[in-house]
Amino acid sequence: VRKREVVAPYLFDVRLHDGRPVPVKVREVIRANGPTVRLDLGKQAD
Amino acid sequence: MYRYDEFDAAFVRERADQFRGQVARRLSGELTEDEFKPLRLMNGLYLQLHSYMLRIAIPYGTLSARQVRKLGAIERKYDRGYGHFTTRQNLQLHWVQLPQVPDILHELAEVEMHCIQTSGNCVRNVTSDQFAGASAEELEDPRILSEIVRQWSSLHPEFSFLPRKFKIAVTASPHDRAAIMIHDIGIAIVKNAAGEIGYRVYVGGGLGRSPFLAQEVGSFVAREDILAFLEAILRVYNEAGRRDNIHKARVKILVHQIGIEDMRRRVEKEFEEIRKTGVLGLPADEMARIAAYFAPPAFESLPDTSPELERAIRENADFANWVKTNVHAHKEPGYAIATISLKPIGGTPGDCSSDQMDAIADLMDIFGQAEIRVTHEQNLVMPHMRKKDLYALWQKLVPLELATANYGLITDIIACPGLDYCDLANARSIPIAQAIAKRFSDLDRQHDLGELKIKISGCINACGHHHVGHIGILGVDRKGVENYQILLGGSGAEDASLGEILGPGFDDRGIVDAVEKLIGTYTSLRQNGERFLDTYRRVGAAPFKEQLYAR
Repeated sequence: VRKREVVAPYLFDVRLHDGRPVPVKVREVIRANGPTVRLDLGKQAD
Repeated sequence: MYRYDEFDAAFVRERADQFRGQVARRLSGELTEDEFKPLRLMNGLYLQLHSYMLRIAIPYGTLSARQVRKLGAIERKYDRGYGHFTTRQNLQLHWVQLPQVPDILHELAEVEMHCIQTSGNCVRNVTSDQFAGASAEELEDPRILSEIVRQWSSLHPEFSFLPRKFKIAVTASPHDRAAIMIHDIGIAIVKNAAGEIGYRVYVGGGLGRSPFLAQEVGSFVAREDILAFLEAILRVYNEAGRRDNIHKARVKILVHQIGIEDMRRRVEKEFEEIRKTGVLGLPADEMARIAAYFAPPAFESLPDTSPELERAIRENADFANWVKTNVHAHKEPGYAIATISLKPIGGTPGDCSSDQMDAIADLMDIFGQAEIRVTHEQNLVMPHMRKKDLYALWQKLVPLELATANYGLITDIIACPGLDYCDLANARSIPIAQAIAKRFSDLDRQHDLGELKIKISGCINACGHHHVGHIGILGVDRKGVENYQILLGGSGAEDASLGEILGPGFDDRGIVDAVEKLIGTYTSLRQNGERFLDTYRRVGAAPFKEQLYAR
């Protein structure tokens, strides 16, 4: 936040998948990946 | 349409400059997010799930070809090649980068556009009837008053920090296409027994967590008094509206708590005080000056029937279907109003790509449309089409995927951006709209079902107007899983009503089957010519519940 790389962080629930934390709720899954109706956009497209 | 004067142009440019400085201070770390937030919100800049979102004001939904082209260019240059038209006739860009926003504001200023008052606790974009100036049933062009209200409410020093946001809509037709009854203030332009034009004013409508229909606060406000009357309402609200609880801060809650009689009394008292000063009288010459901006185009003298149109209808069934739903009567012989659907089957309601924007601007030039309209139902309207040109227009719309023949039908669904984009949402809206549209894509079936308005919101804030859908769908979070509640019997039109929740919700797959069951119930019960809404109002919720929840 101080480096201004992250805005408005908050805590959310995760579970471990292959040893890596992944979001539990749809909101954070979509935030992490991108819109489910545009798979060409967001981090999922990188 | 209204054109900026020197003051308007200079002000909007200066505002963009000012925001450039604010963004620079934020990027340098001089401002924290908390300090920056109220500044960005003054310029319609929200922080959403993936990025910042910029909401661009489109006053009363009217755009010139130059503006459409500019919006397309901005979508391409600064966003991801598309924009989303909203239920308040605005355009949202969902992927803007903060450092580029000042440049976007400057580019918007070049075409007399901005994002001022598209957020914050102020008077928001004034909305109106998309058929304004074209409909035979209207008393006058409602955009004249809309523009006067826009000018009065822009940067109004007394009303820049209201208890909560404030939305105004204006209509001049008995058929309400502007949803005035769900606005903080709804204005109907009416004629009295003496034949004088005036305003019937409603107050306290709104959806969200606590939905209310507006109630009449002024039965006939004279032309010259309308600004004084609106000022009186805003003053009463500004003073008495609750500021202690954001969920109780809208004027609808004030009206509900004190009652419409007390509200009328307070407004009348304030109105008399303001009127005594004479400051807010609306001079006839000023009204005429604004009206001149909305002078109708020079219509050709044409026969009302067009052999070209009639022949095309006979020879092309797809075109005939489009005419049946998307073309409406115009006040001038030989002309028609054409609705361009932004609801392709399986598409995102209200989305318009930059390529489509460019093409639409070209079509406006080709077919002599000085302006296009954005509808609160997330479609576009060519207001003054020659009937003989309709087939040529349709042929050009088909390859652009803008010729879906579904205006007012079951697949013409309002949907908010929902959890795919919005930070406030609890559930996705767009995939539900897409799945329902695909399920009911058969056009013959859609026509058979007739007018049927499905409206979907991804949270209780109700940007998708679910309370006033014939079938309303509300997405909620049920223990971390998306769940969809059904409301039936709402209407945002002249027969306005609020829908009622039918029962327990459904998951994202079950909701489509549930809609299918509702439709089946309707078709089994409907009588001659009844719409879904008519049948529901006649038989009530019981038979629908029975079919939906039968074990």
